[in-house]
Amino acid sequence: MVAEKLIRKSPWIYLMGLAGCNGCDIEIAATVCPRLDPERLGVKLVSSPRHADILLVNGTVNKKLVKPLKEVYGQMADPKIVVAVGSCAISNGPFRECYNMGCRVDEVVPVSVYIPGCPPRPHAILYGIKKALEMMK
Amino acid sequence: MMLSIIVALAFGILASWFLRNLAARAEGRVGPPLLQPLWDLLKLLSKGSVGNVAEVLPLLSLLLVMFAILNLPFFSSSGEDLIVVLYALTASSIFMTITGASSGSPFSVVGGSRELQQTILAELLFIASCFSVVALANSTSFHEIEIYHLTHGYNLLLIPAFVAMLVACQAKLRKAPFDIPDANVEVAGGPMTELSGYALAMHELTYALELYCLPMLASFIFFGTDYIASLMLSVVIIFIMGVTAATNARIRVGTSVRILFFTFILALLVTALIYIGGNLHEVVI
Repeated sequence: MVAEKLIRKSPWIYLMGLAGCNGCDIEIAATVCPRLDPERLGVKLVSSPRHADILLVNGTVNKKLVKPLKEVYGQMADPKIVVAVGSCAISNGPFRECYNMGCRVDEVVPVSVYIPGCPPRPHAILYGIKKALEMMK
Repeated sequence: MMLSIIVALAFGILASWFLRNLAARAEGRVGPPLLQPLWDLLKLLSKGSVGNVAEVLPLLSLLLVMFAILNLPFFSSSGEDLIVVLYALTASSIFMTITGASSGSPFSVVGGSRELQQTILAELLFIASCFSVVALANSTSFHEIEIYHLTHGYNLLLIPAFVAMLVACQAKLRKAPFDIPDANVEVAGGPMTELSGYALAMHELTYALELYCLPMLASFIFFGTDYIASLMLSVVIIFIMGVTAATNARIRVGTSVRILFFTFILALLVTALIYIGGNLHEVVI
């Protein structure tokens, strides 16, 4: 309970880029740039899943990425939350009929917030993170 | 006793906010709110912990920094000798380096080895620049150093030694340009990669206390200031560190070792000059 309340004050994000087209990666980079400055909300982009509270997933899950995604989710300390960014992370987007597709993100890890768009705007991503934090109670 | 630790904690937390905010302002951002480092700490303490790392090592490192703070010369009940503080600070950073090496993650092993290379030279530089004052006061006792500053004018040779001390602080605190050991995008946070929850909180706490201890020690050693004046001087030192960190790029580990080595030679030269000068003076008399 206490941890959930404190995470709303300082959400640390680990970004996991799966097999997407890199468009969402660029929009997420734009989200943490000075124009929107999520650090004023306490958001920090960390480089190890062990430090993180929020797993920001973008891109499709192909056959080879099912296991790494599960492992990274397992390496995060409780309580944790997953946010799926972009059409690929929601429904495999334009790649859904490719020969190498594994499954959707929410078939591997429990997703709390879906941010639609191909790619979503930085404002939408920030709004999604805020929604995810509101769900932590 | 307890009070000095509490003041140190408050100062350290505000100082880490100050450093983050300086970096934000340099990039044209708003920056984190005032109590952000405190929320981060509390959150890490309340979270669970995963990972395969020797979690007692960050705690040992924290206890050693606390020991160093209790041995700073600002209260009548506290420490007497410089060697004790230097020993505790050095041991603390060595423990922090071993933490990285204790896990199996290649990122933290690479970060740990980089940190070991840099830390050893930074510690030598720190000690060498402290000893320029020791050579002047002819004693490692804090009391003698304070008496020296009260009875003598300012020796200009201490200015290069103070600059060397600032470089040593920058390297010991792993601020840019010396932040290659825990470079986020290259080695995923270096020695801290495998730390989580409580162990990471211990690490952050150690860092906050070091932000208090190192500038306070530097200002006492080089200017013989009392508690309040040391606090004010520490803010200035942290401002200089923050501006340097915000305006410099990360340098490669070989380059940083070279810079630290040359600064070390400079500090040694200053100490030797002071020592020879003092002896010549005695011969003339």
